[in-house]
Amino acid sequence: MNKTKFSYSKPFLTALLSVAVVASVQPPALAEDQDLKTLVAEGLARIYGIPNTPFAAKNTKPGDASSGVEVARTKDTLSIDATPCLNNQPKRIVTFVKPYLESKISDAKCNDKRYRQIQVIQQ
Amino acid sequence: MMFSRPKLEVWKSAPASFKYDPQRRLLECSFGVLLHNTGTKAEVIRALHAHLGIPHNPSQSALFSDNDIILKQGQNEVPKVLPIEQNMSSNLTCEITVTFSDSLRGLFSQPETARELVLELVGEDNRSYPATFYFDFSEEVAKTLFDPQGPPTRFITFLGSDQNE
Repeated sequence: MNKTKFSYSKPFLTALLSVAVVASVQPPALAEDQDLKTLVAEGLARIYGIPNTPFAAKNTKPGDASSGVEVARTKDTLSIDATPCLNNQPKRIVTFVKPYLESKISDAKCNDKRYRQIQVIQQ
Repeated sequence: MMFSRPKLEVWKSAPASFKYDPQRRLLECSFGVLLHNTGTKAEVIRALHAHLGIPHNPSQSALFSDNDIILKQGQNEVPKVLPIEQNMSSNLTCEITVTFSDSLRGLFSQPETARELVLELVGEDNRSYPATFYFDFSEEVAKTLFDPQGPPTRFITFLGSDQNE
C-alpha cells in the first residue's frame, strides 16, 4: 500500500488552523444571514417558479414600511419581495425583524398573474 | 433650423415619508426629486401642484396648492420661481404640509390600499413635469400615523416608492 507523506510549512498550517478557528467561532448572525438568504432564494423559486432568481436584500429601520409578496418567514424575521412584477432585474427583498406590524393589502397584478401582498411596518 | 429648448428630466431620489403631528393636526409629507436639464436652454419652474389619491380614480384625490408645497436644497428653501440651467442638476426635497382635514382622513380609510402622490412641476409655456410616488396605505399605516393613543409624533417611510421605472 502506498503511503503518501504530506509535508506542510508552518505558515500554511497556521493559516489553515486560523481558517478552522474562524469558521468554528463564526458569529451566529452570519450563519443566520446565510440561512435567511437560502430561505429567500427557495421562496422566490417556489412563488415565481424560476430557480436562482437574483435578488438584493435590504434591512429596515423603525418607521420603514414596504409592500410585497411574502417570500420567507422565520420566528424573528419576515422577508417580502417588494418587486413582484419585476422580472428582468434583481428583485428587491426587504427583511423586517420583530417587532413589526403586518396587514393585507391589494393583490399585485403582473400581466395575467396575481400575487397576494402584505404591507409590513418596522416598529 | 434648430430651436433651443429645455428638456427637463425628473427622477425620484428619496422615498415618500409621512409625519403626523396630532397636537397641531398637521400632516407632512416629504420626498426627493432630482431635476436634470439635458436640453439646450434653461427651464424655469413657475408653479408646483401636487395631489394624493388612489391611482386611476380621480374622484378619490386630495389636491395640494402651491402654498402647501415647498422645495428645499439641503436645509434651505429654494425660490418658488426656480431656474434650472442647461446641463445642470438639482437634487431637491419636496415638503407638503397640510392640516389633516376630514376629507383627507377619508382618503386614508378606503378599502383600496394603493395610493399615488404626484408632484407636478410647471415650467415655461405650461410644460408639465410630473413625478409619481406609489405606495400602499394599509389599516396598520393609518393606525400607526393617526391612532389617538399613539406617540406624540408618528412617522412612516414608504420604501421603494422612489423606484424609477
